[in-house]
Amino acid sequence: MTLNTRIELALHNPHLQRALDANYTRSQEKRNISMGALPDSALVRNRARAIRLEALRNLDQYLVQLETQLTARGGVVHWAANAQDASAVVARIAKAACSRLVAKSKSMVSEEIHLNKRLQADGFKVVETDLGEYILQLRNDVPSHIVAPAIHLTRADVAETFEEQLGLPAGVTPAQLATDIPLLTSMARTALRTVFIEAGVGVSGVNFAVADTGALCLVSNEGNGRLVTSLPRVHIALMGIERVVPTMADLEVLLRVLSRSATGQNITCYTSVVCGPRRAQEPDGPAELHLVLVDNGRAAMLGGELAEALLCIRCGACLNVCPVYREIGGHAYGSVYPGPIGALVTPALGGMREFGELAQASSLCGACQEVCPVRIDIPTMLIKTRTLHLAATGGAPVWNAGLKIWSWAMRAPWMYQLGLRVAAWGAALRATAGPLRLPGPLAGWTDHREFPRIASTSFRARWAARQRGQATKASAAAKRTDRWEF
Amino acid sequence: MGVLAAQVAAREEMLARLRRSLQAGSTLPPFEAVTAPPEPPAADRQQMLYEFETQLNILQGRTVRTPRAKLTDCIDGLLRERGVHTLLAWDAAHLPAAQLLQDLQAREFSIVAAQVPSREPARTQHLQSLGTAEAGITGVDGVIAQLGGLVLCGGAGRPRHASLLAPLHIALFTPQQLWPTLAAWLAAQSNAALFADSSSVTVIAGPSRTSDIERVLTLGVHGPKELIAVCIED
Repeated sequence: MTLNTRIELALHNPHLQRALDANYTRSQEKRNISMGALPDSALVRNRARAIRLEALRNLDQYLVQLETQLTARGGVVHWAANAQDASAVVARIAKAACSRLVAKSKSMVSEEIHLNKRLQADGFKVVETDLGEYILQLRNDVPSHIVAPAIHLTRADVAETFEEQLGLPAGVTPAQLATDIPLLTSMARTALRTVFIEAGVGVSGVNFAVADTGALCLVSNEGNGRLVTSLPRVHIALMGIERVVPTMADLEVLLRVLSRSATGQNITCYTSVVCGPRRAQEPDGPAELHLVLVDNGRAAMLGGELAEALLCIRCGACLNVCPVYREIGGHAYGSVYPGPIGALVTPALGGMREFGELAQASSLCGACQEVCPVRIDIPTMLIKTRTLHLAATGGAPVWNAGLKIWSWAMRAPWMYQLGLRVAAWGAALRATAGPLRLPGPLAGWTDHREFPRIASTSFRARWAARQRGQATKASAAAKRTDRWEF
Repeated sequence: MGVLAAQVAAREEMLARLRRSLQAGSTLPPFEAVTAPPEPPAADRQQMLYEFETQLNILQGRTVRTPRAKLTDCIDGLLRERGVHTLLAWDAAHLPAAQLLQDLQAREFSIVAAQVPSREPARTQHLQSLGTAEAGITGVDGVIAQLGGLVLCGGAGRPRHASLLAPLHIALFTPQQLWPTLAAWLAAQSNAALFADSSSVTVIAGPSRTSDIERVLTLGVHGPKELIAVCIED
């Protein structure tokens, strides 16, 4: 399915449109209030950006420091150059853990490397435990938002899925279930609690890793992040290599902006900082902790034109505010990372040829940069991405031919003027025939837009007339001056 | 190539690629030195306690103040109101009221052993028994006024599950444990001490919550549905 087809589908899905509208109003209000209440918010954001820049500029050193620190505290660090290696590492650890059940909390990297597919192929049962992701997994659907993965579904959709997959609770009618969100939530709690207890392996993402302690920070509101990292005997954390911060104090600064930007909360309900497996004297916690550092194109991206996008802390604020995302939602992007930041990260990691087109899904209004907690210059990089995409694909034939004709005409002023005159005559002839429809392969352009009306007199002609008029006035004024002087 | 050799090779390859990218002159914008944001002016304990209560309240948590002499009655009342019989708890030595658990046991509340075996099938069986408890009682390592947040460190006698598995979490603290901000609390800790005997530090701000269905706030999806912070005043 092409990007345009996916956009068409999204625009004609009334339910998705309602969900996106509601999401926008709410998330914007909450974000603005909490960010406004943060003391010195401009300074905090600048500081957050400086911390991320420092981390990226010395990424090799910080990763080695992270490895040393975490290893000293009993953790095991794995390096995975690509998606396949990363999945293989996780599969190998899970096999050694002798458990067929894997409990997962939300991790974008796991989606990026298609971890579930690999683990399922190896015979594991993988259960997503974030409520939104769990619903999507039961429906065989994919997330549509970084922070709120199931915003495109209604309670009735969820009720239908739960009834089918988990069974109707005693004494409840399907109609009751379809309206009762707390009941739906408690059904998920019961089903997933068993998973947490029985799973031998917990897989999580990492929001930030702290180089000077080897600590891994995970934020969640539901508490599934804490359960996944505390109950299973083996905890595997997956992390894109860029998510390092130098110190614990730096971590605190980033936490100040992360949840405010993501959900408008001062802090998420649970901020778990875990550092190594359970100590000898501790009553609980995992016996093993593995950190998988995933490159999968990031190191190359750091040396390329889109390096700044690696500052991203995955808050999703740019999605919520983007006028294009607000209309088309996450699925239309057809990638793990949607929205303005996704239109940079996806081509940078997944291939410019295949995904560079996503950068066209932007009005370049700059709202994304304005809300970005680390002030990433997304609009400039979207333009760069368009250029890189064009270079990678060679551009569309019609477009290229059109540009060639244009450049040829622009090089000969007489031809350009002639062209304008012909167009103006044409426009005058058609003036009563309604909006102009371009023919052939150009028709797509005028399907949704009105072709601009060609002015009856060109700018050059008006300019020349104006110059002539001014000359006349000037000579008249000169005559008057002469008279005064005289 | 063995697994270990492959791992070493992958590590070297990734670091080499990173260094190549960094040396090639990255397009990253120039580093901007920005000083740490200033800390808010010092507040007294009563102010901090008030701010903490307000913030926790916004997050659907609740604060109860009780004189030390009435602590057992206070907790007993909270538990009975909710029909609680079985408890998860931190060891008495880590609570700001050493006698509390003994007193509660004397009033016929039972406490599930905290130690989770690391071998199967004992591990799963024990986790199942923990799951039957209706409330968890813990101390805290810091109370963050600005966030309405509680900092809980792991360690001996401080099970993570006591603040996680049961539908009700009661966290005991004294006003001496109040801090204005998380940054202030963190600045007072040493990295070495923070994770020497503990594998976790958790900040808890309110009961477990989700808005994943139609963005409607629902409490208690995975963790406690109710969080009560009990301030023991001497």
